[in-house]
Amino acid sequence: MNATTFQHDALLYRGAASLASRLVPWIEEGLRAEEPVHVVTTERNIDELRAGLGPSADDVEFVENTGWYRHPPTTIAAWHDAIREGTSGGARVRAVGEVVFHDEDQHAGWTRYESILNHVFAEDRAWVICPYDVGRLPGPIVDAARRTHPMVWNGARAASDRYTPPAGFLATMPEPLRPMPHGAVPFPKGLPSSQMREEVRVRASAAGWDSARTEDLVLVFTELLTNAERHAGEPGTASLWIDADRAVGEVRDGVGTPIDPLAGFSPPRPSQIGGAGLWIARRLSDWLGIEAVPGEATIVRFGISRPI
Amino acid sequence: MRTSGTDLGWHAAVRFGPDDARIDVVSRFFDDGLRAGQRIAYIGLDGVDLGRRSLEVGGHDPDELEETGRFVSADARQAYLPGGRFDVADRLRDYRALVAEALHDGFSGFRVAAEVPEELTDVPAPWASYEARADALAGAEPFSALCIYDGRIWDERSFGLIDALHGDTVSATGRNDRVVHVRARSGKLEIGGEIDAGNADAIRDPILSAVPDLRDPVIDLHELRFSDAAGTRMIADVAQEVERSFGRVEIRRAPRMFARVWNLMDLGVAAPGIRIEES
Repeated sequence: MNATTFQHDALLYRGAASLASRLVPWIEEGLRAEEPVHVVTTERNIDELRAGLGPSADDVEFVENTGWYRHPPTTIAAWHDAIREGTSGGARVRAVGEVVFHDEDQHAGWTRYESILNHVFAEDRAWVICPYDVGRLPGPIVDAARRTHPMVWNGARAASDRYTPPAGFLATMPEPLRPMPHGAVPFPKGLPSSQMREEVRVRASAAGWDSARTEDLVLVFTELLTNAERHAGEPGTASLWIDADRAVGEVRDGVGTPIDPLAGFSPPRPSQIGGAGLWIARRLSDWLGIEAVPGEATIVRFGISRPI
Repeated sequence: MRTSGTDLGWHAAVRFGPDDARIDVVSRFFDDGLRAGQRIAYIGLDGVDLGRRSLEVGGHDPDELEETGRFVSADARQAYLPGGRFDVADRLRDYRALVAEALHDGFSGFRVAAEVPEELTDVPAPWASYEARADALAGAEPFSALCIYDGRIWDERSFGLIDALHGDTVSATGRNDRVVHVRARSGKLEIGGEIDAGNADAIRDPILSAVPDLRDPVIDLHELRFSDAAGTRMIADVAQEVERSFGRVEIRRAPRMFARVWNLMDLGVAAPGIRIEES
């Protein structure tokens, strides 16, 4: 087994006992090798794994998965922290991550997340197993797991002949550009950045937003406008729709530079110069979609909700 | 227009255009210095008549002030560009010597109004470094300076940097519409206003050059209104330079948004020794 590179497996199972029978030996193997083990799964599965591991369970970090899988970029950041901390001593990290796919309108987003992990953690010494409860999950989600994981446990562990590297996979399942609500108000083109920010603050304040979430909105607009100008060589255009509960923003350049679908999903490296803007925009937005029409425009649209 | 109430440690820029408002500004600046028992100086580009006229507007006799050593003057090109060359360290050394001389002669400090030669537009990086370090000098010595820029020569981009690197700016309209400002005069670095990808790179090097002149390893952000990823990275770079110079650094009174961006960028990993105190 290769302990120096990232491994990302899907484990297809039916019921907690079946899962524990596969994972307990794998976790025990990791503990014997002094590899940190993180397990993020359902409460029921955690109970079953604890029972199977006995006293060794105390050496495992267990987290219930409903709180962990709420927003893909935030989940990536959490895994990034866990893997960095776990590998800081030189050991490989073993992790179990059972994704919560939420409602149907979020299925594609979490499937994209599974694919993106292969890119984000490609250089990390981690072995991640993602359990898929085939008795509960819709067929298309389980089917997609074979395309987003290089290895699949279905009985035995074997390479998936349907695995598609993330760039290719995301091309087949791009994040759709959600529609701009009717009544969005454009900002004057070429507005100095400080005046642009003030205009966002004025509109958010008029809609009743508090200053903390308003500053998130201001920051996302700033980062996306910086990117638009950097790519196109001239200021982009922006518009905003906002009410008391949510905002939808749009930034577009006049060039249509294709954007790497994986851009902005990897946490910035400590020494990295530039390239953090889209990461921040993804972290602070509820959703963010990008569409490039070559020669015409690259459109970035995002949604931010006001916390209740 | 505001120049009254200017204490030692004041380091400001004034820009003038065809409606030349310098005399009134310089006159008030000199009035403050004379009342405080400081030696005042005028460094002019085309003779020093403007300095003398500024004194006359304030009801002073330039000849009498000159005879008693309270007023001195010099040619700007000779002062800034001896031998046609601008050297940051030499110029700051000159000012330190002038301050020491004023104190030795019984004055409470040294105050200079100086017209900036257009030749310095050819060396923007050393000039910006000089201005940042002069601000630190104003904090370390009984010294204050009013830097006079011709708005017809220096472009708006340059003024963005000039305004940022002076603790105060004075304009004929009295407005202060600076986007970002940096002050080193208190012995610590104070970075305020809005920093983004449009101005972060321009102010990075001048600030870094002023780090050795600081008294305290502190970066105070209580006037920071906005900082994006580029601005936060710039402040992290400055903080690391302060840490290298002093062995430690504190970022004080940081707005919540700054700490949020810092954490989103994982800068705590890049600079583990940097402590951030939120406001």
